[in-house]
Amino acid sequence: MLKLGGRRLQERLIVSNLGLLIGMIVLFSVASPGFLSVRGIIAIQLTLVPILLLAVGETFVLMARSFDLSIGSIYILTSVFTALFASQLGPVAILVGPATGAIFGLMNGMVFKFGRIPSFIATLATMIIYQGVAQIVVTGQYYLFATEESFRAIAISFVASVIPLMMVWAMILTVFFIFVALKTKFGRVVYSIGANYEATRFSGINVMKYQLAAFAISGFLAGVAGGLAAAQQGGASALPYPILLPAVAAATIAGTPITGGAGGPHRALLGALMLAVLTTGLNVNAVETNLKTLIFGIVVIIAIYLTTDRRVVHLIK
Amino acid sequence: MASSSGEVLELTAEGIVKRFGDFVALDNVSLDLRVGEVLGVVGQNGSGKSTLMKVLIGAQKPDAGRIQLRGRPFSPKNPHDAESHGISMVYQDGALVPDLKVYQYVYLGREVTRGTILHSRGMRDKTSELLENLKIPCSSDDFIRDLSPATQRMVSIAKASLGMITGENKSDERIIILDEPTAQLSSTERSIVFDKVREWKKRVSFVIISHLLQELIEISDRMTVIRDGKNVGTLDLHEKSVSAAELHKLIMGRERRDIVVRRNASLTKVLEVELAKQRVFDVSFSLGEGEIVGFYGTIGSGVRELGMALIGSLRIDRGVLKKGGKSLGGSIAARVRMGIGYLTGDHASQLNIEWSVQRNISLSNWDKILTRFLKLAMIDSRKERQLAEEYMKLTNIAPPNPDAICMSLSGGNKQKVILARWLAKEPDILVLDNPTAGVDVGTREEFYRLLANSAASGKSFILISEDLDELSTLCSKLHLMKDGKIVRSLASAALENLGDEDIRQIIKGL
Amino acid sequence: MNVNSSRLRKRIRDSILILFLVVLVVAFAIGSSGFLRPSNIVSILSNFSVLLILSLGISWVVMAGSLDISQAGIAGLVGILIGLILPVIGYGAIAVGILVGAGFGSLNGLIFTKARIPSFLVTLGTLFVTTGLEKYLAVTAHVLTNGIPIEGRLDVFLPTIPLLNVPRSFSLFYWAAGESILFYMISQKTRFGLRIYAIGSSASSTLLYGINVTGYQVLVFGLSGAISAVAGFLYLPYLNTASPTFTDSLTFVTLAAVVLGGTALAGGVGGFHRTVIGALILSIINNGLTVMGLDALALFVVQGVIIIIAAVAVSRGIKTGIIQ
Repeated sequence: MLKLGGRRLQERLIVSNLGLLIGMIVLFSVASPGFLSVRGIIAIQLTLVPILLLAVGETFVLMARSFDLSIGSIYILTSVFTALFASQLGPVAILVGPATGAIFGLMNGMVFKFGRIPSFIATLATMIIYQGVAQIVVTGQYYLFATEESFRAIAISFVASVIPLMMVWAMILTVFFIFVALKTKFGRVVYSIGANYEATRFSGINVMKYQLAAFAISGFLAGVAGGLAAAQQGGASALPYPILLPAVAAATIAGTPITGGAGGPHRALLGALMLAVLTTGLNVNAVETNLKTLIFGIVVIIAIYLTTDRRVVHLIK
Repeated sequence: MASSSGEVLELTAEGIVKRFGDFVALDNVSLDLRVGEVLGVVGQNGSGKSTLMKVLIGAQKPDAGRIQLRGRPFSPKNPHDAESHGISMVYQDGALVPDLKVYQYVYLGREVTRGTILHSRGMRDKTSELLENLKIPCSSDDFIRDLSPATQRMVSIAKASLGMITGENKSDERIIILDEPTAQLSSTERSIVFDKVREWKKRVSFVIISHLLQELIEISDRMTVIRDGKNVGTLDLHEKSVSAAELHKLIMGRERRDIVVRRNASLTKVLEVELAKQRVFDVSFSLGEGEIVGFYGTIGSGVRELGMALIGSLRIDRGVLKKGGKSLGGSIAARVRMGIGYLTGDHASQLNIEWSVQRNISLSNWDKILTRFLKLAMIDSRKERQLAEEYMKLTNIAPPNPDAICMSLSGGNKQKVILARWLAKEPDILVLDNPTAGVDVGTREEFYRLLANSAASGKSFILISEDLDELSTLCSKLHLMKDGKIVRSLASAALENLGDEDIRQIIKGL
Repeated sequence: MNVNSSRLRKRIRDSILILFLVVLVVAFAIGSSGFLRPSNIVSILSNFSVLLILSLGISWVVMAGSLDISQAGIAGLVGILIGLILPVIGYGAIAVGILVGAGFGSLNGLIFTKARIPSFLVTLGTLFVTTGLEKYLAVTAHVLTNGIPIEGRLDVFLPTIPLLNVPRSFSLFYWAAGESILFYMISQKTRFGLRIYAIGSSASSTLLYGINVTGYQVLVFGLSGAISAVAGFLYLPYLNTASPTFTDSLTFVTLAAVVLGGTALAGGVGGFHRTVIGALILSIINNGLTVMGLDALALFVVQGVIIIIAAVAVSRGIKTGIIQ
């Protein structure tokens, strides 16, 4: 039952998912020439960046068999903080997002470890807290403007006239974290924690350190996304933004199991690409709003079906 | 139906053949079981004995051969079908359901209901009756997860015999196959289980698979040896007594190799332990360079807790724990860094089972597989591969495929992977807690050889075990623990001169 | 090993939960005179009921060792569906709705068991699909902005206490209470309930004892779907309109109620009484802080902090499982 020649199966899965992605791209561009226009490609990237960053961060937490519900709130809170400092700091303000995001992520980890409560509950609570803090910060103003050109340029100046700078940052970070996950000791350890906590502990690893780091990474990337959002939109508000579910979907539909120990940010990249292409494609084709969600759901299901690694069958929960 | 010797036969299997692709798991195997006997079945991992059992209970269909149950042809469609004919199997870990109460577990699959409502009182009462009947020390209302491992095992055996005892079965006769019933149990618990088997023998015929040759010899009426898919012989223990060594020879197909272990006490002390008045133990001893010091103790003796304390997973209040003169840090990570390792027979807590052999071996051996790249610790696949191959060769892991997923390996090979990891790490001191639990004799031999070699090159070991054979083979010093204290220490000279029997007497006398 | 340790720990954990509840209530009562007023209690119970009814479905699935996040979607979809069909076929619409819910749930179960896709993913997909369908139907029926008036036809399902000035919404509480008790009974007293626990505790062992594990799993997902459908239908008269997306925000909160109460995500442990307490704690926290006139902004922060405290107080001895 267990195919030891698993590599072939893996490759087949990735190919079929890529196939789905390419298929969608072809379909959409045929259905509407505007899809592959400059506007269309830019639209895809704008949708992609936040989902990708959040998904990659969430992936690290998932790898360690935990869950981070607060990424949406960190996204909002960090965008608020960034906008707050944009006028004083100019382009440097873009660092506020990642820095504060990492701190919030670390706090998540500490509540989880020191409170000894399931990460699900811990991050549910912090999700609520961070949302609350964001609303406190914007009291009275409702929208914080951050229109400085130099600041906004970090996100929206263009490379090769089709690629917004924020996309470049997102890809650099994504490639970096894919490398970390697959090629470094850190990544291997995080996988190990998700695969078997006890075994990892007994092998002499200080597991707490790594778990905290995973949450910090998740917060960090959510912070990057938040900062870039503030730059891109020229401001920030504390309105709840439903990005949690798409991010988790992107992280999980391309093969990182919710039980951790496998998958990785490369899967999240594929997942995020698919979601971004799908969303934009449906938008560009002026598909009726509510048919959109439906088609979205169906494609998600197909993607899930194509990418589930069914080698490790007995683990399915 | 009777055999040539006049005994009544309960079950016979003739000419069983089973192939998995090209691999012939069972090669014309025959087996018979008499009424009211305990038949021990032994063999290496992969020898085919598990497959044979699965065929007997209908979990596998044979490619050829036939089975007769009480004189009638028997070909079970599935285990459930087999069970209704009076033959069932208790799986290796007991197939427990930890969150159920005992009576719920016992009746799982054949719950008694009045309409749609469970007749809990009835089931509870009948279970209590069963427990009392079989003298199992627990109550129907206890949760399975709260029972001691031995009691859990007994409960799963009781579950298998439920139909017979309460008369709910079609047939009165009953055959129960026990697959390694005492793996992971302490010796006290093992004797409890085997005593029960002796009691129940009057009503049930048993087939017991085990790697613990000595104990199996004590309890079996006859023993069948399976090797390479063939039945290489059935010994009648009433006719002629059999020694473990003889069995060993049959199982392996060759003589047992001798292990040479240095017995002289070393002058250099690598570990000093003075842990007085801890919660569960009170000991004081030292470990020399290149020594293998053994600890024997049953459950409650504190010996396993000692092991856990040494690696740092059990906190010690005060006391002296020094390695090479330096006090040991508190966490597991700190201890490992200071050169202490820990290996148990319970691979679930040590192995990443869905990972490859290679990745499990490298799990503690970061220094050997990393290269620094811009301040990042990168994994060098080539180095990792080399490490894996080197230690796979040393420990003789089969199949020799570094990418093989550990889940597909036999129990013995899984243990070897863990051992490979620690051998690669080369800790100065390796604490072994029942390292060969559930491992077949061939693998055990290899283990001992590896440990002896490693000790000869200067590494020290603390061996916590309940296998006297193992302890006397390897140790230069043996501490016997009871109630948390070392009550007797045997030095190498004494160990060499005493036989296993003598040591057993000493232990009984404690 | 202390044979009583599990039972003892359970008892301790139950007491802590109840103690915490009491402390919460006392604290809020002191903090605000309006907290214990009958009208507020009614308000608490109404909110609690909505949360609870949705959490009951998840409880079944979690007890069986899996996850289900599609409740909100199914509830919303069925709500709209019933709203649309009711004028056409009368009360039969309710039966149709429940069948649809059970159908989606069973589909979850089938994909999970046959295609071997993790339950989280399957139900995530279903969540998207049902939410999409819901929105699509709503638009098609032009109800997105207006809501569908039900003209009181469903009032018969919502008994209220005539003399006390209790709003209609309170009647949800009867349903919540009734369902909780019913499911508690089923889980404790029937063979079905016992087997679900067994599957959650160790599906592999249960399979060995001849029980059709996949069949039960499909059943339990179907049950969850049906319960969500009932929730969707109940919510209709409460609003007296049929408008979509009322349940978007509840997706993870319902799961939190289950986990907070102590039903381990690993399965086999816990039960409906726990979910009830978990949902109650969350609702009381929410309500109490509002009533205390807490600055709307500070509300969130304090709520989050209290949830953490509640979880810490309750977390001793919870089985870690599929998610740590």
